[in-house]
Amino acid sequence: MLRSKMIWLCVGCETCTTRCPRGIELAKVMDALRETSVKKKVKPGDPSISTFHQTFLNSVERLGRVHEVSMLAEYKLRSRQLFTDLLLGAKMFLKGKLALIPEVIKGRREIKEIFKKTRTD
Amino acid sequence: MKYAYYPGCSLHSTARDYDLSTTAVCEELGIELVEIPDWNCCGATSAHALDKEISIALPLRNLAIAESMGLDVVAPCAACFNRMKSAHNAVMQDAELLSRMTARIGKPYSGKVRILPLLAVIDELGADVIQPHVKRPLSNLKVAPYYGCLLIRPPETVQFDDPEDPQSLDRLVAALGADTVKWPFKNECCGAGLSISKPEMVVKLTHDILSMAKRCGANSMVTACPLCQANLDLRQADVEKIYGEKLGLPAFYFTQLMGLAFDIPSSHLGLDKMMVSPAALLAEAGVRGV
Repeated sequence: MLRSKMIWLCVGCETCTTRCPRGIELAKVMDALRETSVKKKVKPGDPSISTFHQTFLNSVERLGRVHEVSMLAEYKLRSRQLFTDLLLGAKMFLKGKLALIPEVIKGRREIKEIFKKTRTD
Repeated sequence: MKYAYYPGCSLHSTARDYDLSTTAVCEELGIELVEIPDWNCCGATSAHALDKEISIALPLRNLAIAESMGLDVVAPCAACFNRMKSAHNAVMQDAELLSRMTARIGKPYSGKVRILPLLAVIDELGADVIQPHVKRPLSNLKVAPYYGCLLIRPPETVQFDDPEDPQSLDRLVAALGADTVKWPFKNECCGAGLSISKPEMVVKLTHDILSMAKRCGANSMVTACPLCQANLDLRQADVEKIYGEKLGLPAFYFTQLMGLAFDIPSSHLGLDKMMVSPAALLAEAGVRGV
C-alpha cells in the first residue's frame, strides 16, 4: 500500500471523511500512509506529487512563506516538466499574480527551528 | 469589529485580487483587519501530506501570535482557515501534543482565539447589515455559488455551514441582488493542490464543475477560496480547448461581488487580474464597465 499511487493522488477533499457512516477519518489515514512511506524511504507511487509537496515545504523552510516563482522553478527542474504551463505563468506574471522577489519573514530562524526539531525529536 | 487578519501566501501573490477586495469591502463595512505581524505560511496541503507535526506547528505559530494580540482570527483562504482549525483542534484535544508544539514554536498558546473564515464573519452580519451598503444590485447576474472542500469539510473541524448543502454564499449572492443558481456541484472538489503536479486531473475536475454550472444556467461563478478560484479561472481556457466547449464563466471572489454591489471602484477589487474577464458580462448586466 505504501508504494501505491492512490495515497498520493488523494488530494484531501475530506468528502469520504465527511460521509463515512462509521466515522473513519479516511483523509487522515491517507496522510498517515504518505508520512509513513516517506519516513520508510519507499519509492513514491507518484513522484511528481511527492516532489511538489517537498518543493513547497522547502520554500517555507527557507523563507517562512511560499514564493511561487522560485518554488515552481525548483519543481520544474526536479520533476523535469520544464515546459508545462510556461505560457500560463507568463500571463499570470503580466496580471501581477506572481512576484519575482520573495517575501522573507523576520522569524525565519523560528521556522527553520520548527523543521529541525521535527526531524530530530 | 476588529480581527487579527491572516492573509496567507496566496493572497500576497496569485490571489492578490482576493486581498484587495477583502480590504476594500471590510473597510466599507467597518470591519478592522490587523495583519498578524510576521506571519508564516500555514503549510497548506503539502505539510499535512508529508508531516503531521509540521502541519500543526506552522499554523500554531500564527495562532499564538494572534492570541497575544487578544483578537479573534479571520482568514479569507479556505485552506489556511482549515489548517488553522485543524491545528487548534489537535492541540486542544491532546495536552501532551500542545506542550510539545508550543516548545517547538517557542510561544505559549492557550486556545482562546476564535478562528473564522472571512465568509463566516460576513454571514454572521447577515443581509440586514449588508443590504444598506448595496448601491448597485447585481440583477441579471446568475451566479453559481461554489464552496469546494476545505471551507465546509470535515464539519467537526470547520464548524461552519452545512457540508452537503451549504447556504452562506447563496444567502450573500441573494443579498447582493443577484440570482443564485441552484446546482448540484457546489461542494465538489476542483483538485486544488494538484493543479501544478497533475494539471490533467484538475482540468477534468474543473471541466465537470464549470460545465454543470453552465448547464444549470449560470453566467458566472463565486468562490471563497484562492485555490478554487485559481483552478476555475486560470484553467478555464485549457478546459474550453480540450473539451471543445465555450464556457466564458468569470469566477469571482465573493468579496469582488460585494465590492461591485457596494459600488467600490474596480481598481480596488482587482477585477483586471481575472483571466476570464468579467467586463462584457458586467456591461451586459448593466452593473458597470470594468
